[in-house]
This record gives sequence, structure tokens and C-alpha cells, in this order.
Amino acid sequence: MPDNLRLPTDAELEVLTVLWSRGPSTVRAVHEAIERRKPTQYTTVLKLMQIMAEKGLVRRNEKQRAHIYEAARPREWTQRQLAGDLLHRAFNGSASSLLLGALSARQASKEELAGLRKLLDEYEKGTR
Amino acid sequence: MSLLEYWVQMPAAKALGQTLVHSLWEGAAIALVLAAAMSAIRNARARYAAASMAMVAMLACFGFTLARLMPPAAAAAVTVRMPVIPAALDGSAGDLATVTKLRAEDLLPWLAPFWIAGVLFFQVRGVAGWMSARRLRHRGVCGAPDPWQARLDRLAARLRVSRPVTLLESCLAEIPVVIGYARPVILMPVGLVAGLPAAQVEAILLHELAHIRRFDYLVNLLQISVEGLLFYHPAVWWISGVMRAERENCCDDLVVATSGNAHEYARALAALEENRCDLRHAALAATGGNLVKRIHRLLSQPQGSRAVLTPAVSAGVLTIAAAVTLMAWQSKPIAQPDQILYESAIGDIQHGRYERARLELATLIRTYDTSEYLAKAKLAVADSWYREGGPHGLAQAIAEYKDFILFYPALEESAEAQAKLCQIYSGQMGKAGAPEGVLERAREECGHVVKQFPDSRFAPQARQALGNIEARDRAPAPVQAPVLAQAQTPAATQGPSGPYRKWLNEDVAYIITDQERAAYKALQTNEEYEKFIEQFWLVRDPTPGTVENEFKEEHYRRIAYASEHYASIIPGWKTDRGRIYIQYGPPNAIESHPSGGAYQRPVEQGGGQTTTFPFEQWFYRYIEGIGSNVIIEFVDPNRNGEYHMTMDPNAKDALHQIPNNVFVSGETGAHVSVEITPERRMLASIPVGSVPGHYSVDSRTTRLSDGTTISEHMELNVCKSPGETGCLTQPEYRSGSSVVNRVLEPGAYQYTVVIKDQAGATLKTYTVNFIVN
Repeated sequence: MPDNLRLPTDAELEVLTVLWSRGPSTVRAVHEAIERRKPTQYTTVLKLMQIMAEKGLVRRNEKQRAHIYEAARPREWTQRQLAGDLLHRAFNGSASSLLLGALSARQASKEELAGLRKLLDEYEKGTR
Repeated sequence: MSLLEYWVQMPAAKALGQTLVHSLWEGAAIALVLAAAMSAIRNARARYAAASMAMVAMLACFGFTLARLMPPAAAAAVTVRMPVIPAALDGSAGDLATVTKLRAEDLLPWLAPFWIAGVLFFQVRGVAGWMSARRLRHRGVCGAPDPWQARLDRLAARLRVSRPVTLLESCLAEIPVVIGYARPVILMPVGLVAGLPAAQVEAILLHELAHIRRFDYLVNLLQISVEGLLFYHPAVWWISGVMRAERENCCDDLVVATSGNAHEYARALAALEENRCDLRHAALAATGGNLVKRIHRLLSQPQGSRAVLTPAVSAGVLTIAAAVTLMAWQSKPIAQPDQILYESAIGDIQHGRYERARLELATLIRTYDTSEYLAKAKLAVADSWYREGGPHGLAQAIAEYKDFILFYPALEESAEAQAKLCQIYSGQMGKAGAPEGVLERAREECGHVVKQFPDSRFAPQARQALGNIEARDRAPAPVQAPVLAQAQTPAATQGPSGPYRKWLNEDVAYIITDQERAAYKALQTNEEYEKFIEQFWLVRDPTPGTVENEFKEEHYRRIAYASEHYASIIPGWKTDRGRIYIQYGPPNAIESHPSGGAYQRPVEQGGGQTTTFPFEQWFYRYIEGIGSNVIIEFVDPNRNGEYHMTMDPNAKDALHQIPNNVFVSGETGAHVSVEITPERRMLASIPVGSVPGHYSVDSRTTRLSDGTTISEHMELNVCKSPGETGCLTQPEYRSGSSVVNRVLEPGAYQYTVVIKDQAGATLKTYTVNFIVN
């Protein structure tokens, strides 16, 4: 099992997020997505992604003329690696009461979820 | 006489202590009033307003009481110089009653430092939370796709939110959240926007927008600081909880009022929670969460508001009913196909139809890349190779299992994959013609099982295997004559022979069903065989009345075609391409790259050239029992015309395993050639070229059956002038027997050479395949 659990840097994480969001993409597409939030040079993104490919964070598909990059690991995997870092603190720690969202920071249990499913299904039957 | 003690003696500390005690009953009274109000009020906005007022009242009471009890500033300045200690000394001589009374009075001021420490703690925690929320806003985010930002803007306009709202996708947020109030952003977990039905995403966005419109983030910040101030009071936490719950309810109401579809929204919330559940271990899940209550409330809402039977409400009910019916129709087929594919593939594996199973699994993997069956499917691919067996099958199985472990190290199936690796290698140990180093590999892989999965059910078996390995290591390996190995291969069994045997194993090998095969094998006489064969074709004849059997003709045409077109070192019909062609007919489209693609890499991606192995992609619009839009990829890694079906999109990439970016493919004309001496040593001639300079040559000889490799590194100089010594004078380097200075076991090998020009840093790579008899 690989134990080189290198956490991606912030810039790398951003590229990965774009790849997870848009699916396998060209460097140009990634650059366009990043540039909408902050001005970035194309070559910066290109260099970064080449380094990431060397590190094994992304995979390069050279089948087409323009190379397609995709994240080497599923999002959940990386998220779990990062969990000890920011996520944990953000959601379980001090920020949990601060963040507003459609769900509470506390998680529903398996039983509760099963109950919900049943409730929704019954509701469907009832209205039909 | 510490500073603390001195400080506690200040009258302000005493006033504070008294205020704290008083606020206990004040808070309790306020909470009681609120509880009474809650039982009377049903409307979420009114309930929220009541809870907010209770919160403000708590703070006001605290402030008012403190102001009343605080002595004037002048008095405070005087008393500081008169410590209370003498009173305590006097008390020792006085009666017990005064002593206790004095002590109670003395203890009160001591509450103050505790309270201040607590306030500090909670405020620091609040600031830390605020900062980490800010960080969440910037780290691991990217703008959502344009169409969704546009949709959000439209929704914001509908809710009359005037501030600009940014929609971001975050890989750190687990659930959708709002951050900020002046320039608010909505963070969606990455993939959620694409993963949920659009109507549900809209409902969730509406909820977040409702928070923004109501300035909830700011209110929440204030609420948290009040919590921190009155942290010692349970009533504060209760009121705060009510506020939070009612705040969500208010937003829920706004969503339903805007979208008019409570049920869709309830589904969205449930889906969201389920989505989150996948990420974490169930053990971490708290029992809390008010989601169940909220959904109950959402679903019962239409009845509650029926009293105000306006046309709008009835229209809303109608839309809900329509949406629900629609969903009931749609929801069933949606989740299914990946499961069907997976189960069908498992069935095929159990019945020995490995190729078909792998096709199905490949379709699953390509088409449903978020399927919950993804990991299982990858494991099943490996299992199919394992069960298929043979040197090729086992080598593939090894690669697939290793791949699986790499991708899913945390899954418990990884233990199983690791155990299989251990099994494969330790199984090979005893066999004749077992590759060199298999003992070490077996030891390594079995060791992984014991080390990494010590508690799994595979560990005992692995320990036993390790024991066997040690035992074998100590004893000298028994020399097994190849004759023995021959005898172990299945001898001619009972059943058909001659042409009838050929018919079964060649003509119809790919189309005969398992039952038919079993029935055929059970037959005895040639007449029975003839009859069976006739029947076999008859039941497949699409036009039974006519003389021609179109099915049979097409089948033999396919075999002829495959034999003609796909033959390499093995007959065309036996190749992967032949097999697929015979089974499924000509594909609808073929994308062929017969020479491998040596192509110019675009300048913006670094320029230079790269190369792929020869490969073909076959596209079938529809294959019965497998699915539509099936793409099958074949790669010829050995460049000998034998294409392998592959699951790995990287398999065709010749440079994939070589860690270098700048690459020049092998020059045309020049090539590595390999010669095998009678004593089974290998001689290679390597085209270094005639350009003077210093070259490093790395070669790797891989035995294809098990992947064992022998690597060698050489440094060579090409002469500048013919008179020089100690350098190459011809463009070819003949390796002598030094390249692989050992006797090669019989088998198929691949020899790869990478020549690196030290000055120009260009690379040339050559691959050649050969067989040692």
C-alpha cells in the first residue's frame, strides 16, 4: 500500500477541484475555470499540472491531440486524506455552528436515513 | 497573595458573581415563557422571532442586572485598599452561622474569573471558526460551471436578493453552505451540481439564497457571541438551538413558497444527506440532526395551510402531485443499469464466460464512473482473470489486483486482493517452469497481507503460506523435469475427438452455451455428434423454412474473416479481436492506429513527440445483453500484430511506464534485434547511432508470463573519429552475452531498450519480442 500520502498544496487542490467538477479536461479548460476567479497565466497552470502528473496526482491521457488530464484519485480519497486537516476543524470544530446550510453539520444516522426513505416513499404512495 | 486573589476582592468581581447567579433564574424564566409561546405558535417565522427575542432578552437581563449591582466607580477605588481578610479572621472567633454566611459571600466573586476564562475560550473559538470558514471559502474551490451561476443569479432575482452571490464548488465542503454576508458565496460539494437532478439542485440553492436574503450569517455570528457570553446557562443553548431549527424551517418555507414543490425539496434534502453518508464511516454519525423533523414538517405542510385555500395553494398541490407521479415513474429505472451489468458479469464469471464478463464490467466502468459498483467491478475484472488462470490470465490478475489495492487502499476488499496476490505467487512456487524470484515475491505479497490486514480473515492463510515459503526456502528447490509438467496438463479426457472435438473447441467455441457444451460432451457416437451439430445450427437458423442457414453462413464467414485478418503468432480466430469479431460481428466503427501514434505533442503542452503502442478501438452501437455504445480497446504492446483486449486506457501508451517527458520514438529503419544462442543466452544488437557522444543505455528483459524482469544499465561512447579507441566505431552496438548474462528459461519475453543521449537529452526507445524455446 502506498504510504506516500502527500497532501496536495492549495494550488494543486484547486486544479483537482476543477477536474472533479468538470471531469477529465484539457489544460485550457482548467485554466479558463481558474481564471474566472483570479487572473492566472496559462503557462502557470500548465506547469503546475505537469508537475502534478509527475507526482501522480493527475493522469494524462495522450490519446487525443490535446492531452486530457484527469484526477488520479477519487475525490473521496483525497477528501479523507484532508479530513484530518481542514475539513475536520471546519465541520466538527469551531466553525460548525457558523456555517449555514441546508443540512446541519451533525449527520443523520443510517437508521434515520432509512426512516426518511420510507417516509418519502409512503408519501408518494399516499398522494398517488 | 496572588494577583488573582487581589483582583477577586474588587467589588466589580462581587457584582459580576451576583449577576451570574441572578441570571440563572432570569434565564430560566425567559426560557419558560418561550416554551409556552412555542406550544402556541405554529408559524416558523413567528417562532423564530420569538426565540430571537428571548435571546435578546437574556442578554438585556444580564446587562441590566450587572449595571444595577455594580457599585459606583468612586466606591470601587476606595474599597480596593481595604481587603476583606480581617473579617474572615474575626469569623474564627465568632459563631458558626456568621462563618458560613461570610464564606458564601466570599465565594461569589470567585465565579468572575471562571466566567471570564470561559468567555475568552468561547470567543477565541468563535474567531477561529470564523477564520477557518474564511479559509474554506478560498481553499480547494473553483467556480461552478457558467450555466449554474446564471441559474443562481436568476433564482437570486426571484428571491429579491440584491447582493451578488457567487456559486463555488468545493472539494472540502461536505454539504452545501453559505459563507459571508457582504459578498456571500455558496459552497457546493464538488460533483453535487452535476450529480443531482436539476430541480433538486435548484431547491437546495434556493435554501441557501434564503439564508442570504435573511442575513442569517450575520445574525448567526451575533448569536454565537451571545452564546459565548452566557455559555454557563443551559437555557441559552436551548434557545439558540430553537433559533437554529426555526431558521432552517423559515428557509424551507421560503423554498417551498418559491418553487412550489415540497416533495422535490424533501427528496433533495434526503439525497444530500445520503450522499454525505457515503463519505464517512457510519460509526461517526451522530444521532442528532433535525432533518427527520424537517422533512416531516415539509411533507405535512400542505395540510396545515389548507385553511387558506387560495388558488395558488391548490396549484401548488397539483404540481407536487404531478412531480411525485413523474418521479415514481422515473425513479425506478434510473438507479438500475450498473447493478444489472454487475450482477450479469458476476454470473458470467461463475459460468466461465470471462471475456463476456469483462466486457460488461468494462462497460460499467466506462459508463457509470460514479457507480457504487465501481470498486466491485474492478475487483471482479481481476477475479475473472484469476479464475481464467494460465500464465497470461494470472499475469493480468496480478496487475489488476495491484491496481485495485493502489486505488482503494482503504476498502476491506483490498485485503482480499492482497490475499489473492499471495495465493497466486505461492501457488506458482511449486510449479515446474516457475519464474525466478517467485519465492521472494510470494514472501513479499503474503507478508503484506499479514502486516497490513492482520485482523482480516485472510491473515491466517497468509501466515501459513509464509511458513510454506520459509520451508521451501531452506530446502533446495526440487529439479523438476519438463516431462512432469507435461503430464500435469489435462490429459485427453473422454468425449469428442477428431473433427468433432475441433468443432466444439474451434468452430463454435464462442457461441455454444454451457448446457449445450455439457450435453455435447456427454454424447458417445459419431452419429450422435452429427445429429447434435445439425440441431445446433437448426435452432439458430433465423429462417428455418429455407435451405440456407444465414446464421451458420455468417458465423463461418466471421471465422474466415478473423483468421484472415487477425492472425499473428496465434491463429486469427483465437486472438482477442477474432473472438470479439466472431461473437459480436463487425463493429459499427473501428478507429485504428496500426503503427502506433508517433505524433507531435502540441506546443502548449510541452512540445516534443510521444508515442503509443499500436491500438484499435472498436465501437459497437449495441450488443445484446451488454448494452449500447460499447467501446472495446485492443492494444498491441509487443508490436507483433497480436492485439490484446484491454481495460486500461493507458495500456496503449508506450511511454506510460517510463518517467520522462521528452521523447523521440524509434527511428524508422533502425531496430533492436535479438538473437538467442543454443545455450539460451541472449545477444542483442542495439542501434545507438553514429552521432558522436556519450549515451546511456537501459535495457529491460521482461518475461511475459509472470512479469519478472532483468534490467541492465550501460554507458557507451560513440567515436568522433575512426582512429579512437574505447568507443564505438559502428552505429550498432553488439551486446555480446553481457546484456543478460544468464540462461533464459523457455518462454515469451519482451526486450525494451531506452537509449539516452547525454548531451541532447533525447530518448529513443525500442521494443522487441522474442521466444526462447
